[in-house]
Amino acid sequence: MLRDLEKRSLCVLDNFNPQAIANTLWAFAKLGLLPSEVMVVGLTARAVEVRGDINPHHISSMLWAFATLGLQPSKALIAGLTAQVLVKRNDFEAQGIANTLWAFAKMGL
Amino acid sequence: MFSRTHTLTQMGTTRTAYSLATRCTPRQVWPWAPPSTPPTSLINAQRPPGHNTLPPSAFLAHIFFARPFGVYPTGPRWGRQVERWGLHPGALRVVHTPAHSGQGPMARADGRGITSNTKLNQDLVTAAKSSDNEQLCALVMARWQDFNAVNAATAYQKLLLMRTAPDAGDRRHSPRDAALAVLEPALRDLHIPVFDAHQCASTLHGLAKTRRRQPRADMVHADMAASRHAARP
Repeated sequence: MLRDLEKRSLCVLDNFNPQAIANTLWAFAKLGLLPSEVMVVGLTARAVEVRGDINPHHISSMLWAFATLGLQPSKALIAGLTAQVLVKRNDFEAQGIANTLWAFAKMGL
Repeated sequence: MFSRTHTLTQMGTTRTAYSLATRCTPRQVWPWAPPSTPPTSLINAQRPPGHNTLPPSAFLAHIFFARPFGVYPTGPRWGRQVERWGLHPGALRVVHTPAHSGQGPMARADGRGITSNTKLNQDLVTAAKSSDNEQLCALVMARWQDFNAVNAATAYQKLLLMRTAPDAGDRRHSPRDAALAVLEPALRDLHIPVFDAHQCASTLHGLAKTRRRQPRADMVHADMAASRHAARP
């Protein structure tokens, strides 16, 4: 089932919005399973594309997932997410701030 | 070879020499359907009588003998003909069977049956909200063959997130697990290949929420990956 979903996700990756990206990464992290490399690269690239529409919850979820999976996001994604953190810092909740800071620390950023 | 200059007017319609030769009218020669018009826009189009190019007996045989027994002739000409029958307003009342009337994994993309599947989705959500867990399971067991991708995704997530009583006994034989056992093969074979981005993500999310992890050879556990990273110099 997971493999089928991952395969299908790759086919429709261009239609992923920030919520779908965050949910997918969060799901793999929660399950403790690494997605395929092509999936990680695709999700990262798509996240960079849609970074303007991202909300604080998505940012913290994505960063938490990357850190939990032991993955290092691309520099472009880190730069994009960091910029969005600064822009939307007033909308972060306590849990989001904690998760974001934990992820940055875990990734050594 | 054949063009619109070789046309004859018959029963108020324009037919090319090609269409007369093949007894099958290409859509582009019909005056009310320009070549760029999508098929769905023809559902309510006014058609003159006798526009079907195959004889009525073929239509009746198709409705009363072929379809009930799952016999479907193939070929481009037959396909075009069946499409016309399906689009004809008068045919909507006759050609209505659950398997091909817009429901289920074989659903047509012409918009028919959307209401039924929307209603089915509402029923799934209502059943999931009810206090009786078995209502959702019974609905899934009864209607899973009519599900389209949206219904299947909804049903699967609701089943996954269904609260089960701690003292429910042997969960392997619970109605929830029976419904999941029916739905999962259908999801894999029919519905996931047509899932959209939202359905993929939300189904993965539902699986993760319930930690429904399934063994997969080419997936690496995150713990193992972390230890590999740590072991690197």
